[in-house]
Amino acid sequence: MTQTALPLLAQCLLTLAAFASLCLATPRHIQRLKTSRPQQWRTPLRWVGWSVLTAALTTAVISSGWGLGLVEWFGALTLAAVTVVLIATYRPTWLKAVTWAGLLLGLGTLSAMLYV
Amino acid sequence: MAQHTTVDDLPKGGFRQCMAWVHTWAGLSFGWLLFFMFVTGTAGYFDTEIDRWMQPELPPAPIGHNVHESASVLLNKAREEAPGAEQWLFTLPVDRNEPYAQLFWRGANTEAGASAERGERLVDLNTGETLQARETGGGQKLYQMHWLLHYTSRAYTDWIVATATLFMFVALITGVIIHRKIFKDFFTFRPRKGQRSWLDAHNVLSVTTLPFQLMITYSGLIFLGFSYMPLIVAANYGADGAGRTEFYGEVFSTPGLTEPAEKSASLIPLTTLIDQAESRWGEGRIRRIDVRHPGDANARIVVSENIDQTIASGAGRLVFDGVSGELLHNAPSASSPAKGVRDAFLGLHEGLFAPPVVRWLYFISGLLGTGMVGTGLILWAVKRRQNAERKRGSAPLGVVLVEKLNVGTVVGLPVGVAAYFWANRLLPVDLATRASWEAHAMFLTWLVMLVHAAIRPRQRAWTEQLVVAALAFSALPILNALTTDRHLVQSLTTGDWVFAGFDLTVLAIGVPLGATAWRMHRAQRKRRIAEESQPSQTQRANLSLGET
Amino acid sequence: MGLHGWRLASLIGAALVGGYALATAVSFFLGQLLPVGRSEATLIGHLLGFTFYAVAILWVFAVRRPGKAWLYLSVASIVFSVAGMGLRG
Repeated sequence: MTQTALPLLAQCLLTLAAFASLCLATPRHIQRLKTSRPQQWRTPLRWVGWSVLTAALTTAVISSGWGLGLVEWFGALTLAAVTVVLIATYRPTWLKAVTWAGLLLGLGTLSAMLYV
Repeated sequence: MAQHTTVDDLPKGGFRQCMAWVHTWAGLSFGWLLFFMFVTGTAGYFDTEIDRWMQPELPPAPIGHNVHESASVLLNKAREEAPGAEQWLFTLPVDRNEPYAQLFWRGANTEAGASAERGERLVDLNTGETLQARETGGGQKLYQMHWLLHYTSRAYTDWIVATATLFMFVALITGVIIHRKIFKDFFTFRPRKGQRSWLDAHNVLSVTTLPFQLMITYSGLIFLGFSYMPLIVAANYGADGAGRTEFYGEVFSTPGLTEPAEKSASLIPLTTLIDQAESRWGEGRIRRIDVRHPGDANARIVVSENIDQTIASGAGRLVFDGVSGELLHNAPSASSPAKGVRDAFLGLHEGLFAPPVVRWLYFISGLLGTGMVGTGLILWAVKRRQNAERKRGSAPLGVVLVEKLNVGTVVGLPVGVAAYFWANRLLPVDLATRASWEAHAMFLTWLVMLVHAAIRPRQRAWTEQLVVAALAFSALPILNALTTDRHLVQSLTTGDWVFAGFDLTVLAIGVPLGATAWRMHRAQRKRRIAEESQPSQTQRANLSLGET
Repeated sequence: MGLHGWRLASLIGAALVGGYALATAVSFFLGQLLPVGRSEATLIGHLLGFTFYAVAILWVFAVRRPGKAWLYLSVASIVFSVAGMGLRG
């Protein structure tokens, strides 16, 4: 049980950050970046989103194998996507914070896994 | 009126429009049945937990109990209850899938003192006594409704369920085809915009769960394949029953099983077999011990591996000679590549392998899928009411019918499920047909909700039923506290996670239902006030439920 | 005016009945075509059957002509069944 809990937590956090990043990259939300030219950030944000999704998949497969790893990844994907849609609808100002928090906590959990 | 209640014409337009038509009607025609299947199937991911909540008398589950000890207790129980049986099946309490030690037997000799020709017992591993608890259908019956329905014969149930699943599969594919902007609209949900909001919600729920939906639907079809497409077997093996039996034998039967020799011989102690199996699979990973023809010279013992390390529905089996103890076969469940793929699909569908957190993800995906079907049904009605009222001022009969079925099912069925749990606590413990009455309570309640939906005004029906649903779920922990001593405070402080989990989950269902009812009620009141001051505007506001 | 009434019913019938026949026939034929044993062929047929069924249904609704749908599906079903029988020997 505890064997899967930690990697799964990492995946949930990472996919959450990834979707928040992808959501920020949409035309509707890109203006939330308080920079002079937010449009410039769309491509980098998309890159972050897709690479973090890939990273989450990789860690899932490494830690749990193809079968369970894919199941965990798809499950985390669904949960994260729905969460980001709700945030984007009702608390859109949180998107940036969610991206950072998900990334940092996710990476933190990943490094914690190495020591457990 | 009549022409408005019939199916829309299949449009002449392009490919996408046709697919939209197929999506709409494939989804609607079996929508309420699919909703039922989603609700009961989602509950099924916690089937044994619900079992345990519904039998609060049972002692704590002895999960992880010493295998040697469990096996010897079960063996003694089998000798006492079922002498001369053709089969004893011992299920060990290895994880949440089988929380209690269980004995199943068939073909026992009642003249030699067997209590019945076939039967099953939950066994207390400390005393060897049969565990006694109230009669209940439990989480198992609720889960079985997912594919057996209820009050129906197996002869046609498979066909109904398979057709519904096929329609769902078609609806999924056409849904992907007609959704032009899957990526662009991925994060889009615009609340309080009527039809638009329902479409957004339907899209978000479908797209985010799409991998789960495709997996669950196709694996569901594979479950039913042999009943639904029997001609494939017939074409390969012959159309008679013998051909079918031969096929099942080749694919599914355990190797090495034989007829009894009708010569008695004593059964080998299970200890050495258990040690052999555990040295292969690891300690505490034996799920089942299946003894065929115990006491006969041709006895066989099949030891099955737990399935917690594979997503597939079956794991390894070791077949031993029951007298000499010789290992005859080491048979993986996936006897061929195709069998392996089949096992993987079925395993993914049932999710028996899933550790707790993954189980919750399954449950959440199931709930979102339920929401997908529900929003699809509501969207159908909202869209048509809006169009009809724009043109003629009132909704046609077909739309009204769908609306009423929607209220009575989308809210009414969950109320029925709550009633199933209420009945478990409230029906007299000595009632002879207790388990059946639990199910009757569920379907009678659903029926009452449908009748209520039929006679109440549309908006009122929604709020009233939501209130009932909210109360029915949120009060379950109170009912549990009044009727057992395993109330929420107790279960939280003692770490009784099955009970705490059940109580908290029904609260987590009940409270949002109540909040929805409250918001809807408030919106309706606002609209009524607006109506009194400015009648023409309210009519437009009334068009859709989505604004609440 | 689009397709309605009896012609629509006929089209739905072609999708469900014709698609079913085609799915069964193709699944059976495919099993014979592959160099695998009889039970494996049957299992593969069952794994893929519903894919063929779904594709056939969508094809019928894309074509939108009941007569053509019935004709093509019947002919294809018969051809695949006969070919499968021939391969089985």
